[in-house]
Amino acid sequence: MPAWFGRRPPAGPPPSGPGDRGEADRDALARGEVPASTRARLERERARSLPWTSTLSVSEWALARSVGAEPVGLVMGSSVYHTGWSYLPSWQSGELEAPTRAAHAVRALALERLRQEASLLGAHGVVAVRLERSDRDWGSDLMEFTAVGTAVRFPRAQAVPRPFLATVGADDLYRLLQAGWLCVDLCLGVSVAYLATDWTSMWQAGSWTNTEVDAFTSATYTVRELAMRRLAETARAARADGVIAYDINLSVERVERGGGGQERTDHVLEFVAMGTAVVRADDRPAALPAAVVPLADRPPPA
Amino acid sequence: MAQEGAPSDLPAAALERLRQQAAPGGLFTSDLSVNEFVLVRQAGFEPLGLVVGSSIYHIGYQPAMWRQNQEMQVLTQATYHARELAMSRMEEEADALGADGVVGVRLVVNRYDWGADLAEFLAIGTAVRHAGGTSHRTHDGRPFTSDLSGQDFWTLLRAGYRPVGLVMGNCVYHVAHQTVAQFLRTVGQNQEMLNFTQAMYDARELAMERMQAEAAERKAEGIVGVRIDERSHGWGSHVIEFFAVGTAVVATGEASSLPAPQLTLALDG
Repeated sequence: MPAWFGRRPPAGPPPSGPGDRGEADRDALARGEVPASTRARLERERARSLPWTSTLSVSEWALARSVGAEPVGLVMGSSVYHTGWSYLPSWQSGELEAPTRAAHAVRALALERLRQEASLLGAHGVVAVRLERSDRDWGSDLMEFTAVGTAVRFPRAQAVPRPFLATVGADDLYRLLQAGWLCVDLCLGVSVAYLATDWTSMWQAGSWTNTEVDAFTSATYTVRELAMRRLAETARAARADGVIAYDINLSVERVERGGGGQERTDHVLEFVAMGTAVVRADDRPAALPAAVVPLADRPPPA
Repeated sequence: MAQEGAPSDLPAAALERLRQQAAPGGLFTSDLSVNEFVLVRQAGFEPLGLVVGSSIYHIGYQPAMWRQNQEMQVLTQATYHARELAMSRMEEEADALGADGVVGVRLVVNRYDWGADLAEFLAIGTAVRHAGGTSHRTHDGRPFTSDLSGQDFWTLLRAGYRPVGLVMGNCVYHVAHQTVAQFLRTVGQNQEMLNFTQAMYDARELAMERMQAEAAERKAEGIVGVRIDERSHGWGSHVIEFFAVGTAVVATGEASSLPAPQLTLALDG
């Protein structure tokens, strides 16, 4: 009878980390490094004394390997950030400088820490990067972003000082490489603005007739243009030919202002544009796809 | 092919069900879809039966220091132990069927109305056996487990790898509360909250380390399809649980026989 049979005794206490590493880890994070325990684990993973990890599904993993990209490890980065204040006169609208910088900084910190993990693994790039937000009630004005992706290495290519990041998955990487395109980097553009509701807007929004609320339309144009311009600037700086898998997102938060019969609802707009910058590597014609008629049942509409 | 004196901790009814299924001419059961069924058979395996393991578990209590980032080891261990009970019971069922392993394992935590700190841990999957009789068990003779679908199982074998186990790591962690002094330093400022960031790193790192240690113990080369989820069992916002899970794999030594992929365009859209 194999030894593992039967009602096993309770698993021992989970192997715990090397005591309280809080202080040293906070210092490392403040210096822009990943904590020592993370670094040590990734170095063991790189030396193959720990199994590699990958967020890719089996199909994506097999596809990545078929184009010579070896998945070397799951990489992460995260940051919890406190947003400061920007002062605007109560009736003024415009971009909020501190919140814009905060919204960019928290994402950039998470992404750069993920990139650093990829560097420690000797990777050339990271695919399938997901950036997720969590809202914490551990304090006021907090936001947390975590980036997760799979680092890949092209064993025949030279080492790079700065691995690329891409929001596209391994299947898209395959399609891109087939078509002669390379990923350059993940590009980000952010803008946060305050929109004070004036009398005209109040009148338009409360009207009984069909009316465009001009100030609202114009405010969404402003944040969108600023965010998209910033994304384009980072893509140009990376010498990209274009940006694909472009994802834009506007969120609107209500702010109640005033008192004593002067109440009004203002808004804070946050616009985030994110995409993967690509560059054309060669001029091969795109392969002709084979037309197929699947016999599979269609998945039900989501 | 229930081995003599084998699974001692399975209920009599379960043993009887497995005995009937394992008998020659026994009926197989499976929760694979038709597509998965066809592919698992194409990969040279036959489904033997749906296997389950479950445990209803009471999660204990542990006080936390208000101002300290710390692991809640009692709570971490609860998830470990309950998962271990459910998984090992499922493996025992697979062993009683003479299976090489279990595909499509789902590890579910249900909270019914049993009581405040009670949870059901349920592992369920389809036991399979290699039709050619080659053993695909792990190095210590256990049936392999994996959360791969039938499609993924086929692709993995074709690529020259095989699953050795569903591996997991978790960590329940208490995130310290801010002190008044810390709060005052952040008022109105754009600032990273290093104490919180460090807590997230510490908790995730422990979960990852444990998952990789489990895979190393099973002599795996790597872990595919890793998911890191943050979960909560109602411990309040300052207590978080990171849960990392994936399928540990090892090379079979055979070269990849995966057909070259082709670009296709479905004309049914």
